[in-house]
Amino acid sequence: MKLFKNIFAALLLLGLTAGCESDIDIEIDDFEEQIIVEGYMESGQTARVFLTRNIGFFDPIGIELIDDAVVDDAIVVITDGDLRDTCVLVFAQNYLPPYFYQGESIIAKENHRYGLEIYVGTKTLTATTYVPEAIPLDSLWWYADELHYNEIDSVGPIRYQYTDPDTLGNYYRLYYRRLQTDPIPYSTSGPVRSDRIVNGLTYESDIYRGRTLAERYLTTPGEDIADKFRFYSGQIVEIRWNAISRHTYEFWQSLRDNEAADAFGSSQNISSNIEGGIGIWGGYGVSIDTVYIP
Amino acid sequence: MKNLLLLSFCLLALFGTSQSLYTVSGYLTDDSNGEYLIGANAFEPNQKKGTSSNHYGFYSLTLTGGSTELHFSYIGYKEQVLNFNLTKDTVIDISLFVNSVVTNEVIVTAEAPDQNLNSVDMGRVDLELDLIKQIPVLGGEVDILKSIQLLPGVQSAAEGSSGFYVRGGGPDQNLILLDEAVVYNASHLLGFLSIFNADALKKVELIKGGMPANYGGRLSSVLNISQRDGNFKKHQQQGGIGLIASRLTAEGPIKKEVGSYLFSARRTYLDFFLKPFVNGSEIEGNTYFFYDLNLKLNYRLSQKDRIFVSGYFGRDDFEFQDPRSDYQVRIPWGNATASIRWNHLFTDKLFVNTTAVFSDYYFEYESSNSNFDYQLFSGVQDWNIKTDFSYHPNARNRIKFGVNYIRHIFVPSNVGGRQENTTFGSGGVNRQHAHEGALYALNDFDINENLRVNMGVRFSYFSQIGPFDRYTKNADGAIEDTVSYRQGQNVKTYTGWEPRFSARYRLSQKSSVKLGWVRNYQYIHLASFSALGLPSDLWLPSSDVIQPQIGSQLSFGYFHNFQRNTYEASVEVFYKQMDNLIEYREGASPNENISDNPDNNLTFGSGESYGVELFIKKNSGRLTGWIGYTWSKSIRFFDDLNNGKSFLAIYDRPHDISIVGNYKLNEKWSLGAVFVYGSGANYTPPKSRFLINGQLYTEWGDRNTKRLPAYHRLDLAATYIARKTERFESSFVFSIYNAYNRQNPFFIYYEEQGRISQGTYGLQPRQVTLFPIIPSVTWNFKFL
Repeated sequence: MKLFKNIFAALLLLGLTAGCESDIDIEIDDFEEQIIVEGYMESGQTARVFLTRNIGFFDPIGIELIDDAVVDDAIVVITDGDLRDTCVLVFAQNYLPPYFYQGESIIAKENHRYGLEIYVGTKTLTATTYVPEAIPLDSLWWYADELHYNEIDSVGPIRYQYTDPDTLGNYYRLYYRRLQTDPIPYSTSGPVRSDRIVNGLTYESDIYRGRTLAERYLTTPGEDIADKFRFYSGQIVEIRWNAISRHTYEFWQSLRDNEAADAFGSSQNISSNIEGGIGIWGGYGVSIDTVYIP
Repeated sequence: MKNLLLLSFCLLALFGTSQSLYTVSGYLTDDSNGEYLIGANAFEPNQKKGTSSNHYGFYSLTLTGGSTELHFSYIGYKEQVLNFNLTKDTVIDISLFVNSVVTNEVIVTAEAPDQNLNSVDMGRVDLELDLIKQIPVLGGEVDILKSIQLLPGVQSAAEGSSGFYVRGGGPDQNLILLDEAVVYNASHLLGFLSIFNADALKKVELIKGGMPANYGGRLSSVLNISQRDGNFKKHQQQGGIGLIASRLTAEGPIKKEVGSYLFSARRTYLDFFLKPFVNGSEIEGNTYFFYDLNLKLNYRLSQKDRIFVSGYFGRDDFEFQDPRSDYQVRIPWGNATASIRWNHLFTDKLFVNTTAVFSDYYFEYESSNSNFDYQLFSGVQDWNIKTDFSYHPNARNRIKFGVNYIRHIFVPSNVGGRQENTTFGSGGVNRQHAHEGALYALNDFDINENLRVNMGVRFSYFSQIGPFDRYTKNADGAIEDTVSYRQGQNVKTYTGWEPRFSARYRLSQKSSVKLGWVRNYQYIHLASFSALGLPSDLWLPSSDVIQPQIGSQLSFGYFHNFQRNTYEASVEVFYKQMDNLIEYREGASPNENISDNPDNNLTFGSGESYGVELFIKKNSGRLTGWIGYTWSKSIRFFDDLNNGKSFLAIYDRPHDISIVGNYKLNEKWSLGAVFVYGSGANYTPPKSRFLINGQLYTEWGDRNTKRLPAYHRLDLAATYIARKTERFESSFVFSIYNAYNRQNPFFIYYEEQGRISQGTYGLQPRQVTLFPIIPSVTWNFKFL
């Protein structure tokens, strides 16, 4: 859809005369408070659940508003069918928001279902998810596709080869972390993939990195990114190729379509699997590869 | 049951009279070029009997023998009266002369045609091409679809779009016929222009309600467009050069008075025109063009047989070549239609037309660079044959019956590509095959002098057949089962009975009331992601998952003419109920359609619409034009959308006003103006925002509950006839679109402004206006 939007936007510009733009006032109604859940059950780790409240559409946002939006008085419980694990609120400065509820005892295993229960005030939220089996990439390597970009000798993406299992319905979530510079993994460019077109095939594709938090909020719009969202010599890059379930895939996909209603589509609410709230309780079958770029 | 009733009515009417009756029949043509006139009138005032010519110019009227006074008339032409003694079946071919240009006074020589009072068709509007050609439209182009959007009850999808909605129904509910061939996507350039080149057209007829039984397959309307036949008498060329596109038409006799040809071409040069502006800009490397070709051939084989061959071929092509790499994108789409028609006169009362049609619409997306290429293809192909009989046993009955068969082939989405050395594709299994057929019979008859009824029934049939694979998914969304159908095996069959009824009661010389009730089935559907009508919208057949859309419409109207039919006025009220409407599920995106059945991503519901249409039209004189006002409401009910609450359709527009005027100043100059006003389009408002993965997203409110500011616009045009001799005519059309530069919102978006670090990061709503004031000049020429 993004593609169509870009193309038709270009058509409009090209087509007849330059469109004119202006500010407009619109009135919106009051909103109900919702609890937003961003939950991760990654194989080999305990749960990580971010809880926030929604904020007014036109409210100007700063660090204080984000701080206030964090839900810090919730009871968050993970279940695996037998055990119950009550999470603890921890401070984690590199995330936005910088607080999350961390599981203590249940470590996520592949091919397992996990439940989530959240109690905030009088509200109860529940969800379940499934951690699929991770299928590692066949191989990864770096290559340069741009020479002498800015002050860097050569930059390029990380390329991988992968064999998709024969069954239709495999979905993936991609992250990268440059070990020397990134405190946490960030989404790659095009971080959500499915096997619709490549089911059962062995194929190659490129990974470009996505914006870090600092780049999203601290750079001025239009500022050139020094490495053009690529990697370069000397870096050690960790790539996560996480297997996700269909619901988790639909959630991440729906974020892309969640944009203002315009001529090209209708505004979609995100696809959520939280009963009583909005967001995702997602299972991730983690597969990590590290590329040392010489 | 319905059949028995119909049959008995027919019989009653048939055996009504017993005096010696004779039939007068023949063809009505335009004297200057021999074109057949559609809907011209033949009327005998003493016997109070009349008829009108069919789509091939043929009329048939059975009268009591003896002294006869026949009036032949047609709007824009001088009436002819023939006095003679009718003693046997007689063939009378008449050629009518165009009314000369009125200069100083309003001249109304005789009773102007009162077709609107007389006809029994509810909600039918005939648009004269001459009038359409004077309506100023974007960039100086004349456009049929833009012009019909100026009629009450018809609304446009959005600024610039030629998709249209009739009485609250969707854009796929309009049966668009070009010389009997179905056109699936009638838009160029996202709908800013339609594919119809007005120079090649003869008549445009829109039926909004009370669709008679000879039409079917769509719920809301029939837009019947007839191409011109071509000058039977001499070779002519005409054309025009405009801001956006240029056209050229050549026509003439193949054999004088026996056969003729017409060939028309139109192309845009936006690609050349804008290249200097585009180079070096953000959108460098983009190019776009479209073209249309129309062809018509006809030949009179004998007194009883005529053959017509029509064709249309058009393409839009968008291309993008990245100047800095070898990445390129190409998006072509277009329609091709071809039809062969054979008219045969069995007797002077029984006329039959048989048509074979091929229609093809496709949309393609291709992108590639040195490492990969990717193609997506989607389209519809129809093979159609139909026969329509019209039988006029006597003056009171006009019977039509016929049969129609279409073989559809749908390709909702076919994907293929190559990545380095790996090729992938979804194969040919995505095709869907179907048979569609219909049988109909109707009688348009006079019960008495004042009461005329059109009663008919249509029986329709639709069957999806294999080869076809149906995928079913499990709870996690993985495909768990595939049901395969072999070639020709029945997947699903639907049938429908579609009764059609309309009646006209003539209150007086000047007024009548009409009532209509119809039921329609629609077996093919358009699944779209946006209201604009993009070429990426998918045409889908009814299937084991999609049921046919069913519509019922009740309409009632009061019609009144003033000043000897110079003014036509009407008030029409309608109520429409629609079932089995389709929409994409919440969260669906076009990518889902690959490797899955597209109809697995749909959800179903119903809708209703109702409204009032007021209309006043002035047909002759120096000032002509019309004023139309519609108040309407269009609501949708879908269990899976908007949390099951009803919502307004995206095309709901409470108020819609159009004022169209044309004024003949003198022999050289005429002026035109169009003013439109419509309630703003509705949209879904935002509710709140929230944080996921460090980014802000929006919680949206209830569907379509807020409105953008109202849309209004004034267009002006002036036509100057530069030269008019026997051999050559030329004129200039100066036009201004959006004369007072109203900033109509095309869409709104929310712009991120401010910085989080300063606590000012927020959203500012902004509106984008598509067309500000746009002046243009077009030069039109004609070699006679």
